[in-house]
Amino acid sequence: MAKYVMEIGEVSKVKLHGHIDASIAPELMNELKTLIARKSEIKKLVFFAEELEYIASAGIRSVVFAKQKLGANVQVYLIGASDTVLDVFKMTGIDKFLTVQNSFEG
Amino acid sequence: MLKNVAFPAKRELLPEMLKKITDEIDKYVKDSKWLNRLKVCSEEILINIIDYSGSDKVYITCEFLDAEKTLRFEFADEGTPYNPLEEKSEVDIDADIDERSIGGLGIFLYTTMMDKMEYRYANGKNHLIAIKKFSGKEAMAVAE
Repeated sequence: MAKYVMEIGEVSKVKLHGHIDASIAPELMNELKTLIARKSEIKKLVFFAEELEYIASAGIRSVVFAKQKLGANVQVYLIGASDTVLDVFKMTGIDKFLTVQNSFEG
Repeated sequence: MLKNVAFPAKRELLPEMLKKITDEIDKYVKDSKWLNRLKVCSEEILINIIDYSGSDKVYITCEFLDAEKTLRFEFADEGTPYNPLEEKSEVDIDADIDERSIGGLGIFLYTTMMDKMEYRYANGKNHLIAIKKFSGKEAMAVAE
């Protein structure tokens, strides 16, 4: 059973949770590769981050990787990220390529 | 204060290293944003040492210099002499997503967040020193 990817489809859902440091991030990346393999089905990719306590560059790279592989026609969301988590996304400038919302509005 | 605390340079021990560091800085820094930023910086430096230095161990020092309201980190390893600060960061935060390199983010983050970074090679070790000075209400340092 996947640890992060909850659903693959037109609206694909990924639940980011806990601490995603460099020792954990490869698991996220592997799951995202499985998701990306079905990219023709995907119109939106939603990262739910309400339970994400910590992320560093290794985890953010996974999000960038997904965004790049899915292409411009797939909208990528970041939902419910805490201020501290969002702060790291903002420092990298990656937040500009994501639709950042408190709760998923579609 | 952490003084030259040694850990085997292994990825699976990264959470343990980060916990040791955050337990220490939690004594001094009360601003959650800066606590998180300092943890991120520590991770980025440590993972570079673990993945690329070839060293069996990593040595961590973290001290709060009360008079200067400054946190000083020192990360040392016995690997190949290497100054990461000479790496030109290729991160352009204004670049289009498809042009964004997925490498170089780590060094970009810690050189951006920290006030001062220094590197030296001495006694067979790489030493990377990271300084963060707190001022005003940016973070509340408590070293009573």
